[in-house]
Amino acid sequence: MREALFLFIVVAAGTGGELCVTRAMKHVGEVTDFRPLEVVRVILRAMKVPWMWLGVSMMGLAFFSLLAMLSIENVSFVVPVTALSYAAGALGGVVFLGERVSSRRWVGVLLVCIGVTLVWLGKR
Amino acid sequence: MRSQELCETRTYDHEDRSQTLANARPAELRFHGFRPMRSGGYPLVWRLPCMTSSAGLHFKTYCMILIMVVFGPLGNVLLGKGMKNVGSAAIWAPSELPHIFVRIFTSGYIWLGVASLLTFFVAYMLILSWADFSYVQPASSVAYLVVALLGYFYLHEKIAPLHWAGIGVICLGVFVVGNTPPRTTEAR
Repeated sequence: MREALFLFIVVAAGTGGELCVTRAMKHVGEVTDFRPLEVVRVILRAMKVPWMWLGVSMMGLAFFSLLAMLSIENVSFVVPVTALSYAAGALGGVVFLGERVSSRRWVGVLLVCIGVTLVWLGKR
Repeated sequence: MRSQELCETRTYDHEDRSQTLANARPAELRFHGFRPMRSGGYPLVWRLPCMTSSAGLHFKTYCMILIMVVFGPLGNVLLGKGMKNVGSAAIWAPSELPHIFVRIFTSGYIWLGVASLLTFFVAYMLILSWADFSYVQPASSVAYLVVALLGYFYLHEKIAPLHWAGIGVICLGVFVVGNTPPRTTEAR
């Protein structure tokens, strides 16, 4: 049962982290200059945005949950089921960021969910 | 009189602009969606001569995708191998956590896995600087199949037919999520 909890953390914290980092980077603004000094400046600016810290912590949590999951289950099971992030990403985009998701994308998300179910059943 | 007028106009201009900015701010902060990565807004340093031709662009893109679909799954497989040595999280007690963290961070496989994932990440970032997100993402769907193959052949994991079918459907799903030509946005 623990692996289900870890999967939930991987998907929820991973996607939540990405959404937070996206929000932080939108706040920082588009990066157009890739000289090392400018990149450092952008990183410093990004570190002043609280969303960035929240996002990075959530991504860290997701990483360690992935490690925990990998210690229980086979990698050929763990990595495919974490594809659920696509469903979480589409939902998160709609709910939190007001994105419009195309019907084609929803079909893809549905296929991913069916695939994850099959992988989960195949393990039993 | 003239200069005063000019001054006035300037002041108005300035005020107007700051007013517009102040009004625009909340809207700007709201994020409306993943915009496709723009390929043109990057400095000349990053644009190698071969990237200007279509064939060169495709070659570079395929090389980066190859690096992505090899190093991403390889990283996960190495992490998996490392974590199998650490012990199952199904029986971890909270008091053991510090000890477990030490074992994780002293594992060579974990560090190799992290290095491999970083390589994947750099390739991913580089490719997104010229190709669309919606092009890269479906290409990376193959990674789910590569992970299963690596698990099967390298780690000798048992994979049931239903499991294989699920992986196939996941690959298809990730592929369907987006599939467009490498560059749909105009180069600036």
